[in-house]
Amino acid sequence: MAQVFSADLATFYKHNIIDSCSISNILSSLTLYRAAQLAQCQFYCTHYVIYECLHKRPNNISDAFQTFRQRLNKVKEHGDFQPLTISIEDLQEVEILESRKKLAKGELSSIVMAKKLGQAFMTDDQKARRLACKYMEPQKVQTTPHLFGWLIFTSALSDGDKDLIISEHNKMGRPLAKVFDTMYLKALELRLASRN
Amino acid sequence: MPLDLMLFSSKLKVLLNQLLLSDTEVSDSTGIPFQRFHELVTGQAEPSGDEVLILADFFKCDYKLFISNEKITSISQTEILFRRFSSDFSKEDRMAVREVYYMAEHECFLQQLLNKTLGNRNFSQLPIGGVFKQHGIDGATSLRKHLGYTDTEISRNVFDDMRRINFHVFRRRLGNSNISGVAFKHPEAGKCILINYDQDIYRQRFTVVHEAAHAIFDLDDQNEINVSFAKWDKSDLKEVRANSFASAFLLPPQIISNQYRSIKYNDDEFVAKANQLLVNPETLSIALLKATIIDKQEQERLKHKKIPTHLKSDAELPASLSANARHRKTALLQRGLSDYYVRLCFDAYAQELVSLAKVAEMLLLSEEEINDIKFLYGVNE
Repeated sequence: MAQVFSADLATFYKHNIIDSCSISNILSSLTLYRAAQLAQCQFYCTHYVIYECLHKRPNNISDAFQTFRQRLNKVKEHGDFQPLTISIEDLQEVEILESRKKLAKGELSSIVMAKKLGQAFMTDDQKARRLACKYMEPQKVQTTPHLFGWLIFTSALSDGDKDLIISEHNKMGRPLAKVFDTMYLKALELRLASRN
Repeated sequence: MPLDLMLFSSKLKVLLNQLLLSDTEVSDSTGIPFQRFHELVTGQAEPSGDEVLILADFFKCDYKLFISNEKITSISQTEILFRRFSSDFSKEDRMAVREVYYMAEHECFLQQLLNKTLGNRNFSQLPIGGVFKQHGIDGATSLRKHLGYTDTEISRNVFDDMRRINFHVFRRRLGNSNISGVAFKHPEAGKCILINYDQDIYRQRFTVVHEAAHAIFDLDDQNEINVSFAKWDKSDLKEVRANSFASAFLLPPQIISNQYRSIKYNDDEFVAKANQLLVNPETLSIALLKATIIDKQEQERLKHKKIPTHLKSDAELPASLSANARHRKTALLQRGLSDYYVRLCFDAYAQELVSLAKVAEMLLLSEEEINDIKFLYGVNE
């Protein structure tokens, strides 16, 4: 999962190709998701990621996972998280073929698509983020905590929203609460510094 | 490179046939619409990259298998296996075998990536003479020496012993309890052993060595797979050889002659001795009979004695584990996830060589489950 890192909270690419882990984190809090929508962020994913999130059968299905699936189906109906398709030629690229044993298929397909469209790739797996930086511009590899910090910095989220988001996120059994807290403080510091 | 649609379609057909799956089942499990999947199977449409990834995930194989125009792959090997033993492998067991192939491939990849094996001590033994039983005894003696065991020392972890000679060992529950183990030569990973976790732990210890014998003596380029059954043909000399190998490895004659010749023991002591040696009473009774320490009548009586399951020792589930950790690790083992394999995955993750989602893929677990396993293995970010 994502840890605190030196993201520039003053900037955030609004168009993201997102992997399943980040979809789970964004949809863990509808407050966070709605704020991102209002800030005109757009999330796209590959068909493979949709398969992982909606069709693949895990060994156990928790209540939180069922809620996540319901939320994703609903937001998809409203046009977000629309699936994009990668081609066989994309998979045949040498550097992608070479990375196939180090990155999960969802990450691989998302990186391929982000590179192809020149958009950002969003993942909360810190090792996937580091590996992705080898294949694309590092500033175009983003995370949910980065989105959260940017929304605080731009005042799209208030102090009250922060606690609500963390509470909603925790209820869904997601792991980023501490990182959100740190990002919140960093965003406030940055906002203060930018005023001086 | 353009995709050969007919070859792609034939690979899909082989997998469907091997795993006894219908188009509807694959469509339901993957979200690929039925009509679209039918077009892919019949070679009427070219798959997208996403569909290739989805099918690779569903069928537990490297996606390169689908996008390359190579014909020889691990699926042709399982084709031979399932054709030869078609009535012995249920649908679930076929998928279990597919998963073991998948894990063996990843275990080999991780060992290379981390430059880490348990010993890297390749072992080979050529049979000398025409007595198969003796091949087994000689082979076991050489292997024990190769692994550094003294004549009277017992192997406490036979699974790791076989990993030390570069075999990939997986314990996995199979529905057919008559299948005790499978030895096969993976096209990339090399020699692999699948042990049916359905057997009791001491039987699994015997099976892993028995399968190792098949891997050493019987697997070659012409014969890449061997399946062993609990009920076996006594005239099958390869089985006789594998059994004598396993017996001589686990209970070398010196242990019996040194420690048991002059001992008179009651039934409880006999059972305790068998447990000390990590073998079932039947195995010890046979060894004592062969050493002429007991007669046939006594052996018949002793072989039915039982060691209570909770007293048996499993090196892959050490006594130091808490009840909760033992329960969870047992569940992992039943699915083929040995401590060795899980740790390789997490070592690669710790060294930032693979992502966590990749670890989940290699362990055939979901993201939720992987977080639980990380905790069990004390893995930190």
